[in-house]
Amino acid sequence: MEQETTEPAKRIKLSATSECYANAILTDEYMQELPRAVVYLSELENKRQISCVMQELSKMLPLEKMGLQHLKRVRQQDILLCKVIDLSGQPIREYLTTVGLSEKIIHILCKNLREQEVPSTAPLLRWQYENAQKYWPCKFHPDKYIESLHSGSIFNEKDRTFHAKIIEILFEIFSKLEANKPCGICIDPRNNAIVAAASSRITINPVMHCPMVLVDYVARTQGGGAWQKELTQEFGNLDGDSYKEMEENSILSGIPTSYLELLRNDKRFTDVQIGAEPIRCKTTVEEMVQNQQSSNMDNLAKYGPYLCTGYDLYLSQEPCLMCAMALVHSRARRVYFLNRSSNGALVTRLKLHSVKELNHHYEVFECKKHDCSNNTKCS
Amino acid sequence: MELFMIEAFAEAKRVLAAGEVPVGCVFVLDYDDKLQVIARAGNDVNGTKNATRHAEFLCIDQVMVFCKRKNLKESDILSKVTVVVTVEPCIMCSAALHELGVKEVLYGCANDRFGGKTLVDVSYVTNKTHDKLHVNGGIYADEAMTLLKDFYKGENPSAPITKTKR
Repeated sequence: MEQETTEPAKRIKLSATSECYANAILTDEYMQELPRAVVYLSELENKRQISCVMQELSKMLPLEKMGLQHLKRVRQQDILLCKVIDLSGQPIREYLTTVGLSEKIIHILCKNLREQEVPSTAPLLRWQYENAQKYWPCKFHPDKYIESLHSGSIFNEKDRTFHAKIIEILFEIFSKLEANKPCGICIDPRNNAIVAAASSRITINPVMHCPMVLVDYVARTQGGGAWQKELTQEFGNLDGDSYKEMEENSILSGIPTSYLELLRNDKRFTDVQIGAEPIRCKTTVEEMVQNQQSSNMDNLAKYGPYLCTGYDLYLSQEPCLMCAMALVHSRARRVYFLNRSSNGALVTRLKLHSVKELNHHYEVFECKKHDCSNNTKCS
Repeated sequence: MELFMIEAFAEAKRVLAAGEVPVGCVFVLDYDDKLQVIARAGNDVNGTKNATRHAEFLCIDQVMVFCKRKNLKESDILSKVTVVVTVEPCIMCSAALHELGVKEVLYGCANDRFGGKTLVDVSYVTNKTHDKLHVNGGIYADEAMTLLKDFYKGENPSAPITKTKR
């Protein structure tokens, strides 16, 4: 919360205490300068002419009709008339007559005409607004949430400490247990508990990239899972008690045995919660919805676990197109990744989350901390 | 090859009865001048609680078993496989099929919500621009669409209620 007061246009540099930061990978519309269009301006002789000119212009040539409603009409004695492209070659005087302006007004407007570049779409973020102002005065409705994603102020110190912790676990699995294969962890952000963890298994099946295995382990916590036969070893070697525990406790069924041992025995990680929320029975859900306590809750809180709804995924590699889309289908809330991949589909070769037609969009963050690997590909 | 679409439909109808989105798929191997179906499946998303269990992925898993049993190299087999599927493969499946290097993809109706061909340049993103995979649709498209429409008239029993749009 404290960060809110700092200058939002700049990305927040993190304090020395947290070594990890997560940059939001926003879609291009937030990262690029606004596109511009060329318009005709008329410089009036004095400000008293503004009101009568405005009266006709707002009726005959409203900004809304040109898609420029985000712009102000007047800057000092300059008044914005129309987009040059709308004339399609017609002389300006003729065009103004066609749209129905009176002779008197046209006479005033055409005395001192010039062309000017103006932003052709509305600014979405403050930095775009400030940049746009250099061309022409704009209206701006700031979106606090997107602004906080852009500046990094969405995360407080506690969040960043948690990111660092999960990345530490990821790194430990990656380097000690999985011989530098891509790894991933799924988190329930409501209680910061580890729901599932997985690593690439492409030696068994070429589509068993880390995220694909991870979503299948999440499915196991919900009584599902497709690769039970292919991936049994990871959950083997359990002593009698642990096996019994796993049987009774399907909430731990998304975490391979060796990872579970690491989490339970390594002092650095014993404070991390483990296990998924058990799936709810239908009647509980219906009761809750009927009691209408749920109006402000997200779908995970409302209905309980369903696929990866509401879950956050931490991956050592940027996912490829197959995996990135698998996470869309799985309805993940956020995807954090450490290393960019040469075949990555969230920033390197595409920002899949910018494809508007998709029925679900997650937020994407690139984390910087350990140089986790020399991997270059999602697998 | 188009006739194999009928077998894909059989799979789609089979899983529809189980409450799945009715998409069916067969992998046809062209080997020694013989055409042979080596994998057939329909979606199994609700059954596995795994949203990635599209018909194509179940078929890929079957090919792995097939190759292991016959002691064949997967890539040799996949490069001779035509994927016949009732609905345009989604971005995920299309990316996987590009990555695996199948011979070609034939589909029924287009998929404007997730379609790999419709929404994204999959061969560019997966970096498979040479040896471009041919993905062609329109075979029995009306039948495929009708089947989907029948499904969406009913309700997906596992889907959560979507938020009402403001």
